[in-house]
Amino acid sequence: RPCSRGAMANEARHPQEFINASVALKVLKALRAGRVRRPDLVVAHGAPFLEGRHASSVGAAERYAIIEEVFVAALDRGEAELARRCLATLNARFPGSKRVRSLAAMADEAAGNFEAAMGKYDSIIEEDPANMHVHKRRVALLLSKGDTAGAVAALNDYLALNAGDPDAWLELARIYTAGAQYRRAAFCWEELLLLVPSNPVFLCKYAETLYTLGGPEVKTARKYFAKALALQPDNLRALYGLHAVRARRAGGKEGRRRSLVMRPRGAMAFFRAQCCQAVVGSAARTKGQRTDRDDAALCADLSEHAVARLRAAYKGNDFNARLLERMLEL
Amino acid sequence: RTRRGRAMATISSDAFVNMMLHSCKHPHRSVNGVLLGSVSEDGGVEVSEAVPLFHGILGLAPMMEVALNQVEGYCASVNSAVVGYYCANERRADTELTHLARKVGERIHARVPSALLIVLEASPASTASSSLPLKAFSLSGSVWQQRDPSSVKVDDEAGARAALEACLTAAAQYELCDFDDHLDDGARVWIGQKPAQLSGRSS
Repeated sequence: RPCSRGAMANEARHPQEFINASVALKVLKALRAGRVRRPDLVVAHGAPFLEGRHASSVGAAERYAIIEEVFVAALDRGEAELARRCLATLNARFPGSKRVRSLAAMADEAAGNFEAAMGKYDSIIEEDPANMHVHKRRVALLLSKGDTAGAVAALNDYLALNAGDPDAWLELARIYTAGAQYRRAAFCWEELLLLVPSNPVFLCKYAETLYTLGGPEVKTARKYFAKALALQPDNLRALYGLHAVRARRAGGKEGRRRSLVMRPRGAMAFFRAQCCQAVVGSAARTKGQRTDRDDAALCADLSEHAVARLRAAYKGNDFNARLLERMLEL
Repeated sequence: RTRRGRAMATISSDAFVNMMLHSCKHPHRSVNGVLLGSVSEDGGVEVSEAVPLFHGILGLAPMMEVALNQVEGYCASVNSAVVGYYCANERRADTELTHLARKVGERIHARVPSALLIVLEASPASTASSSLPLKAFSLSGSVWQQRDPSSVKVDDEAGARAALEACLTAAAQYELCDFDDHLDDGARVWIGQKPAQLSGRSS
């Protein structure tokens, strides 16, 4: 979504040293692959491909793709003139193209001309009702305008027809979370996890959302933190999550066991068993056959394992290690 | 002059720059963090440090609890206290206090009655504007009321703005590490960052 506040970050000037074309291409590729939003780097490395030194260093298709990225980055940074030159170049090469028209609409958005932008998006959709990209741009525009309800409605309509779009579920989860609608956000995370089941980031966010809902959901949160940890044994969110679940469940200090000595085989077996049992989706909501006492023991085991791994993670970093120890004392 | 309603809220230069850098690092997302410092007898607040917490998804309980517990532990060791909370909404033009901000604010207020809530605003690109790019709130009864802008100041404001500009020129905001970044990489330190160190690292 083009950011009108990019003007503040625009204070950063472009590096003066010459950047070799192949280095520039590597940087741009890395940013693209990592989906990292660093408009300053995109402009610095990509702008020479517009009219400057590198304009003839790459094939045409690649050059126009870079120009499109520079255009968006320029909007992010509030560099209207650079954006205008990019758009003019693209327009000259691809006149009347829907893709270029939607870029022109983004420029309108960045300038705050929301009505003009919406008009452009609507006319593209009239010609091409299945244009996923423009549907999502409409949602982004509604969010920029502050029409959250409209954005949510549009995004739900889009997802009714495109339930296989992970980005859209992620965005909807984010919007619901921002509005403190945790139940609805949890539903979105569930849909996302059906599409992308082994992503520790999503597993943890789902677990955090369940934890925030509280009550019986905290136990399900524990399953998902454990599942994330099974995939990524050093995931800090999952480790802290397992520790927090025990504290929440036990109601604070009263529930804490005096001894922090782990029972190695029992704990690891429990832990692994728990991870294997975790099932993504609505089946995960079943309570299981454990008695309350066994369940409390499992919580304690998971928490002790988490604490041990957290301590190992912070070995060698005194400052962070001390923060952890003080937290454990509370 | 010492009447509660007129007590000053003073923000150190480093705290101001850190808050703004956090906001500039993620201009298209909400950000939040806590303010550390001390309170004076007349109800004034002195903010000495701004600790960045999250960006993007702000309102989830477990990591927030962990972060606040760790910050409180840190405060005890440096004889400081959590005296406030700052945030910037996703649309910087939106300067409303969110439900989350109120909740955290109330938790802080329970221990520090003059707790400060700050909502960062969109700042003009130049330093021409004479007012600070933020709104400050204090709890009055059960309502968070906006403080008179004249009761909030930044220590050495001109110096602070210059430092901020220098940091942005050096793209130092990308060196700032919040608790979210720490959770992605446990080796990074998220408390006690100074703007001068950040620009040193990025240039």
